[in-house]
Amino acid sequence: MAMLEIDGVSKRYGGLQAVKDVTLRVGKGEIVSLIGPNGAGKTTLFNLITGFARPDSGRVRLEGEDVTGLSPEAVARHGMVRSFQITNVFANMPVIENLRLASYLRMRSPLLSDVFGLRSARDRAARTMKEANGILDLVGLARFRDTPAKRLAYGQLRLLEIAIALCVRPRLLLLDEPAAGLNSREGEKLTELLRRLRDGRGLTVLLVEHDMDLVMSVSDRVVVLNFGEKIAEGTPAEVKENPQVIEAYLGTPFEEEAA
Amino acid sequence: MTENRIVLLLLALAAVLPAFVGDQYVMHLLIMTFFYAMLSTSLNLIVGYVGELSLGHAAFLGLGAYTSAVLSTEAGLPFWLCLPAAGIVAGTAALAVGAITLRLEGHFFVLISLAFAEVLRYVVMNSVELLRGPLGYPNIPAPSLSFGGTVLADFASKAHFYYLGLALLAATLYAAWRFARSSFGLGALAVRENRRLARAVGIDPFRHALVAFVAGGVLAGIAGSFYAHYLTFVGPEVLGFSFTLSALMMVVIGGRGTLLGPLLGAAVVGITLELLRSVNEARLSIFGILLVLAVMFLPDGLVSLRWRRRPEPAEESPTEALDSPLRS
Ligand SMILES: Nc1ncnc2c1ncn2[C@@H]1O[C@H](COP(=O)(O)OP(=O)(O)O)[C@@H](O)[C@H]1O
Ligand SMILES: [Mg+2]
Repeated sequence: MAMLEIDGVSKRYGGLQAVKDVTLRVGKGEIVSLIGPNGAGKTTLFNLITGFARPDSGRVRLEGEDVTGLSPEAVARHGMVRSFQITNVFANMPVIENLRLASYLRMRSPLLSDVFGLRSARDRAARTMKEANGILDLVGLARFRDTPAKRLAYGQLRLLEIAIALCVRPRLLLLDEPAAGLNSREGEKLTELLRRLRDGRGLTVLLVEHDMDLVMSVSDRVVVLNFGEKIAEGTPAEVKENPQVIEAYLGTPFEEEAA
Repeated sequence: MTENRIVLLLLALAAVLPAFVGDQYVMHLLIMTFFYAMLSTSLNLIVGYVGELSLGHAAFLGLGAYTSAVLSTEAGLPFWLCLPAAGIVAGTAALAVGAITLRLEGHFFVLISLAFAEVLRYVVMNSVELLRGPLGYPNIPAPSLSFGGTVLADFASKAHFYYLGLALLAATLYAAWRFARSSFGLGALAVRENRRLARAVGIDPFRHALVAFVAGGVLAGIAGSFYAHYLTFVGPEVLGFSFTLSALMMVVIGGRGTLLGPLLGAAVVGITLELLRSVNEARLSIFGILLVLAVMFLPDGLVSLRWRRRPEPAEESPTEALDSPLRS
């Protein structure tokens, strides 16, 4: 069974068909990239999948379970967690506090045992914080544990966003342009991190990204959107040779662009 | 010194203070400060921790006060039963109102919370047969504490009310502290700091707002019961906007989302309000101006002068603009 199945999902904003009858599958343990020009509907598709917007039609299933039209918080509880294209963290809080808030689902215990500070609730909190520290190590932010998030450099913020999402223990991670604004060294670190998440933790990733080096090196498959429609799908090699994709998005054959 | 220790120290100081204060008027001011501190702590749960502006808080205060007034004068129930009943009635009302209005976005909640309190006041004003309308309930009996036939405290003296108020305030602060430390407080904090991200990590803003709203309602109802039995009179003005405004000023001037803030706010605002009684009409205007100044120059309240919960924003912060919805 696929991790994520999107079936004929559409969304219209006024006169604009932002997403049109998109169908795609993401297998377990795959990294799939969603590419396409600005305004192609990639972020909108993320919103439709994660409950931040309601599709006009179509279904979304997570490991066979229908999650269409659920609220964002319900979707997160099902194990599908997204990041945002515009950097989005708890800016006033230290890094570790960001992860504590993001671990909420695992911190939470029955209201009364929690309010009365029972031992089980405290043990749970301690375990969760240990895991949060592990995640900081994994993304390489351990040094910034107590730094207020708003003081982080841009590249570190993008890593913090991934760490926040990981604290929810997702089955499926949706990242919206995580490499935007990163320098090439940071981009490579991100590629490395994504591989480690897939291979080490068996995480499934759906990635929206413009950085073609990253997309081509990390993706198992690539899906191309243009004007809300899926125009191509295949391995990175197939997609970058596809004449329609070159015309709509890559502009020039990929090798030249990368050079 | 941590915030909690300061709160404990203040409570301990308050506990020994009557030994040095004989003046009945000063005792009265302190008792009213305890009352206002309870009221603003209860409002702080929703305004400070969840970040929803409720302008109808006086409704829950008033429901508690009226519950106590009716049950003690009409049904002859003792204070010790009226007090929890006041909390239950106010909490139930908060549950009903919150379940409907907290789903509404932003401004609607603010307006409807205000409308709820005003409608309630209007209804009480006009229920002359049932709730004595504008006459209100005079002669609400004082509590009495007895054990095995011996009266331990008859509440004829202000000192008894002083310690009752202090005990209720301590209980209210304890409840607020536990709330803030629980995973509910954690979720509420996330919602206040970044609602969209909170939802993305699985936190339900509505559920958190509702729990805080009901807890705030219960505590306001209890404060209302204390108010009724201390002043021995309850009329429709307990449902009035001026109580909400006073409590809001205390929360904002003291410091939102902190334990100490509403306490400091109640002391500063409550005592000043009391001292300004002579210029009655101008009082709220003066405080309106103070509120605006506080929001402009001390947005995190008096507590931020020393105990900042949040670090100061860095001047050249790289992410300063990132929360802005204008960036896309
Ligand atoms: N909430 C909205 N209301 C109106 N139009 C929207 C909304 N969200 C997205 N759009 C429009 O849908 C189109 C696709 O946008 P988006 O999904 O952000 O594209 P991408 O992420 O691929 O750059 C754009 O033309 C955008 O203006
Ligand atoms: Mg986008």
